[in-house]
Parts: sequence; structure tokens; C-alpha cells
Amino acid sequence: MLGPRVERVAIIISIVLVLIVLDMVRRKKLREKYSLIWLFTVAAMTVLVVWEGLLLSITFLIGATNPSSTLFLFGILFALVILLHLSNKVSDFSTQLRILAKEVAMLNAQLSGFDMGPPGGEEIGQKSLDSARNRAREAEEGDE
Amino acid sequence: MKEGVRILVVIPAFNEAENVGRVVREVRKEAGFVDVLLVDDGSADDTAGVARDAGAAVVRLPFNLGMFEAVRTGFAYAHRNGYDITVQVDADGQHVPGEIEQLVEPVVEEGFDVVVGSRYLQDRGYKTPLVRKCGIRLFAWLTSLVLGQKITDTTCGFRAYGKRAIRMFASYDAAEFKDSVGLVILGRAGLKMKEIPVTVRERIGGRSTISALKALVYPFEFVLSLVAVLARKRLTVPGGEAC
Repeated sequence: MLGPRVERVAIIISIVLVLIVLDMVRRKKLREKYSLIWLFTVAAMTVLVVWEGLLLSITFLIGATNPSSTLFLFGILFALVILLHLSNKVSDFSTQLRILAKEVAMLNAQLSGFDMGPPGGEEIGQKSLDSARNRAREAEEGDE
Repeated sequence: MKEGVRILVVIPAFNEAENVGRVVREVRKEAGFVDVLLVDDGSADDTAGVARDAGAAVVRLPFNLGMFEAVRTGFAYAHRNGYDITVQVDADGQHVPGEIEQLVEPVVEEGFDVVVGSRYLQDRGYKTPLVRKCGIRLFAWLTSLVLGQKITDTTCGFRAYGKRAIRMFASYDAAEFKDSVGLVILGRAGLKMKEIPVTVRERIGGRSTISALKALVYPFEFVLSLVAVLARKRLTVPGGEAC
């Protein structure tokens, strides 16, 4: 059984968290999109703490002996979901970063003329297999 | 003989200022029919400058993305500049530029899309440490099994790719394209592959970039990406069959 004290502490923590999240959104430190998952988590935890019947039936359902373990379980689960979500974002970012880096590299090479080889050298992009073979043939014919 | 086959040799390099000049010059000398592109994978030394002085076109990645991404940058370059064939050559001087012509021939003459150099198809005296050899055997066996075609060397970086393969690499952003998993993706897309024996020399200078930790993680990464590739939909060559 959760005592009224635990309930009060949990509610205070929830309120503080909600305020922090909202403030971060206001200061543009957190995008609305990402704030939702946090607000949802806080709301769910609050409901579990306040609605004792629900907490008890879930505790019975999952076979836990203590309602507070149920709360911990959910807390950890939410944290895991958020971490997974972040890993997913990091993967996306690294893909995008890779593509951008390659684009920048190629544009940079084009701008500086580095993609064309050294100045005064043979022009890059003019050679082909049979032009080389023709040259070799001509050289041979010249020898004869 | 097809008219005007344009070939780009892509050399991915990371801190190879010591070797890269020699390699670029040797490629230009031994294979006079190719253009050379050096992709500098965020080197701290003067790899890019040395390569440019030796006569290569140079693309510099802003930071290290790994060997395979460097190669793929080369593919994108080849794709944009309309090359027909891309040949991948390592910057450490282990590959023999004189063999580029043999590597390219099956693509030009027989219509293969991918030609892979193999160190083990023919014994040419290349020595591999035992553990690594077992690993390579295992990867080769798995790859052969999935592809339904015998592949003996999956990790050799000496390869030639035709236009359809270039288009595949340039169009899809799949980090799993590397090494033999890349071969599996290309094979599943219906590209034709061939292995030919190549000679691999000892490194001219510097040290191999493969660390112990990487070597330990690599097998797991390989199997995971192989499974992931098989679980996904087959990729198709963009823009249909025609080249």
C-alpha cells in the first residue's frame, strides 16, 4: 500500500517535472514533438499513484507483491522507451550527417577545382579505355 | 570493344600520406586509361595534398566516416560524372595497379556488374594470420551460401564495379553495403558477379588500420547486417535495366 505521504511526494515531483518540461518548450530548449512523450510519462505515473485501484489491479495482474514495485517497473519501462526513441533519433542523425558530409566534400572539391586534378596536368574526365588503347596502337604503329 | 568506356579508380585513404603518392603515381603509370580519384577520409596528415600533387582528383571528407563511406563518396562522384566503371584500390599499396586491366575486363567484355579480386582463389603466397583466415573463410562461406555462388574472399578491397553497381551504391544510403554484405545486396538485386585471382603485396609503409577491438566486433556486426539485409526487401537497380 502506498501511504498518503508517498502520494503527495509523487504528485509534487510530477508537477515540478511538468513545469520544467513546459518551461523548456517555452524557451525552445525542447521541441513540442519531444515534450509530448515526457508529459505522457508524467501523466501516466501520476494516474498510477493517485488511482490506487488501478495500481493494485495491475500489481495483481503482473504478479508483483508490492505496489511500489509496479511503479518502479513502469518508471523503468518509460525510461527505456525514451532511451530507445533517442537511439533511433541518433541513428537518423548520423545517417543525415554522413550524407551531408559527403555532399559538402564533393561541393567543396568542385568549388576549389580539386576534383579536376592538379593544374597543368592531364584533364581528368577525358580518358577512356579505348582512347588509351588507340594511343598504344598509334605508338606501336609509329614504331613500325 | 565498346566505345569510350570511362573508368574511375577510387582510392579511399585515411592518414596515408606516406604511401598515397606512390600508389597514385603507380596507378597512373600502370593503368593509363583511368582517371584517379582520391577520397581523403578526414586525414590529419597531408594525404590530400600528396595525392593531388601525384595527379589525382581529390575529394576531402570533412571528418572520418570510415573506409566504406569514402568508397561510396567515390561512387557518387563516378555517378555524377558519368563513369562506366569504378575500380576500388586500397591506398596502402597492397594492390597491384597492373592488374586493374584484368579486373575491368570481365565488366567490359562479358557484362559482369561486379568483379571481386580474391587473394585465395589462387595461391599467390599471401599470408594471413590464422584467426583472420578462419574469419574470412566463415564470411566467405556464409556469403556463398546466401548468394548461391562461390565467393572465396569477401574482405579484399580490390574490386571493379559496372554502371548498374555504381547506380546502386550512389542511390541507396545503406551503411550495410560494406564488404561482403554489399555483395549480397548487389547479388539479390540481380547483378552478375565474378571473382578473379589477384596478388596482394605486403604494406609499403605505415600500419594496418584494423584494431583488435574492431576485429572482435566485426563478426557480430557482419552476421547482424547479413540477417538484416535478408529480412529486408530486395533492392532493385534504380532506373531499370538499361544502362
